Amino acid sequence: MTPTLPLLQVENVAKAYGALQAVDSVSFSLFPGECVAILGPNGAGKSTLIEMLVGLTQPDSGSILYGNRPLATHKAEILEEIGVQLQESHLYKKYTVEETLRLFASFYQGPTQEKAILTRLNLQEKAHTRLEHLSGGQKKRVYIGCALVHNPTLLFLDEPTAALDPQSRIHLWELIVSLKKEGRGILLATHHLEEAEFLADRLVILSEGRVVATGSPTELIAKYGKKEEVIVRKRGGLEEVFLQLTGRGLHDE
Amino acid sequence: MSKSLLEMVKGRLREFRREPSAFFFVLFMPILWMVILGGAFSRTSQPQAHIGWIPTEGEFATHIREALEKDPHFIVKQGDLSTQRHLLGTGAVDLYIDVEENQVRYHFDAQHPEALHTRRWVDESLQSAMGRISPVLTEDRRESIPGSRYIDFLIPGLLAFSLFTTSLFGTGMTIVSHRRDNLLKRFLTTPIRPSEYILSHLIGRLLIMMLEIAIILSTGNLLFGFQIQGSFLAFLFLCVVGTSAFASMAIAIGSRMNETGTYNSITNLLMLPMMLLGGIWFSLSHFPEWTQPLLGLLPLTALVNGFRRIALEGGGLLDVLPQSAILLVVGLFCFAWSRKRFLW
Repeated sequence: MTPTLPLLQVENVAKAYGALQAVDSVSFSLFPGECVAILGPNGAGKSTLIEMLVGLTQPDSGSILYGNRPLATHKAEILEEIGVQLQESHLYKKYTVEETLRLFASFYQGPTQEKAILTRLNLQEKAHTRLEHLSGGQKKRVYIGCALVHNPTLLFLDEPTAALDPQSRIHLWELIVSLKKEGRGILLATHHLEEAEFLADRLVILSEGRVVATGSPTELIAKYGKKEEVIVRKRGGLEEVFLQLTGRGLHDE
Repeated sequence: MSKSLLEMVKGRLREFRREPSAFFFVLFMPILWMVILGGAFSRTSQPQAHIGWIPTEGEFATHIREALEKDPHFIVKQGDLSTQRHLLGTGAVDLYIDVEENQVRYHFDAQHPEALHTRRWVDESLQSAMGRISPVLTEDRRESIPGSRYIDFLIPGLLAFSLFTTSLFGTGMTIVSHRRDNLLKRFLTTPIRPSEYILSHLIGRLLIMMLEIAIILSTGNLLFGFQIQGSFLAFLFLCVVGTSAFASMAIAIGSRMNETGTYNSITNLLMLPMMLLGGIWFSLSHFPEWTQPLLGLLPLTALVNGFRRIALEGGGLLDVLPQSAILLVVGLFCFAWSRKRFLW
């Protein structure tokens, strides 16, 4: 049996800004139908890593392969196949939902699915509403819709549920699960441990730009989590894993 | 035009249509300027000067006062010395007059052209009223030739100024706010070519410009009978070249900033001197002669001069080649600089 080619293969990728080593020798791969979550405290290098993976920033060293194509030489065709939702990226607030999806659809050569996305994201009734009049959850759905409008095989989601209420969050989780079931690869950057545990097949935990652990949530909890906590708090184990690996000090300075 | 470029150009027009402040600056402001200044400087009644008079006893003084009051060109304000000094200081009169024995004294600011003019005017009127006979026979024939009025001078300047400000504030500010909102980064994660984004701003700006010139020129024509004496095509060509140059300047200024406040400050810093030295409101001949060729190199001045050459002097494309060249050089330089230095 031929082994499946990973959608994304990252090998020893590094990036420094002056004296600061933002990302240091990061390697992992992502297969079709798989969700890999990048976890890490503030300043761990998650956003820099994603920016390199989607071609916004050049790595200083290492290789990024999509299938067997290097990003550096096949960027244009790779961008046709990936969908990106960036953290803190605001779309035109004066556009309606439909206009926004149509704008993003126009960027791609292949077939697009604006109408289907509206239905899938439960935004049909808001199709003619401007973004400035949408709730936080609805806006996030539009952002994800823009990333999905061209039917990508690999999706990058950077903090997709940040600042959402529980209902909106669960709705988005269900959407991500259904995207996984369709065979799309998902790279999820998140702070939200419960989200990572619920959605991710594998975790890549970053601290100070380096990978400090990889594995499935169950594997990591078994390896690093305190046994009693795993028993008492069914989903509390991953938090303990995270704190053990990345430290308990604040990282926001 | 590619599908993505077309959609982005439509987006530029949509942003303009849905932004009330853009509507105000592009459509309402130039008309407001035109109506206020055009109204103020287009009086059809005869011009009048305000002069002060210090009441004095005596036959000679009475003759003088009566002569002044009889002349419909003067509005005489009476008052004592301190009142007259106050009126002169506040600009309420151009000069004031006092009489001692058989002598008339004019008090005025000799550095003030309007005051000098009024002094000559009053003196001429008084001398004639008191019996001076002019040795040369003269006759005044008043004419109002299209192109010679202040409003004719003003409208091309206002149009250039409007294209300048709306390009700087419309285009550049939008780019800076897109960068601040990470929208530019988001675009770069799609297959669109970065040049399409910049091009969409230029094309969108040119389309809005069409609306701008249509409104300003037709309002000027309806309210003041303004007409372009020369080639309309050359005028339109200059509009396109000027707007492209200003939009390129805006893109260059906003090419690396992500704070709209900083952009605003830099644009104002650039705009204010050009607004004062661009010859919009008054002729550049008021400036020292050696400065005039230098001022003519400013892009706004080049556009104003080019517009006036066509609109007032009946010029064509060949007559505005130097101005077009200045604008093309500025536009191409800024565009090339932006392409190299643009931060996404």
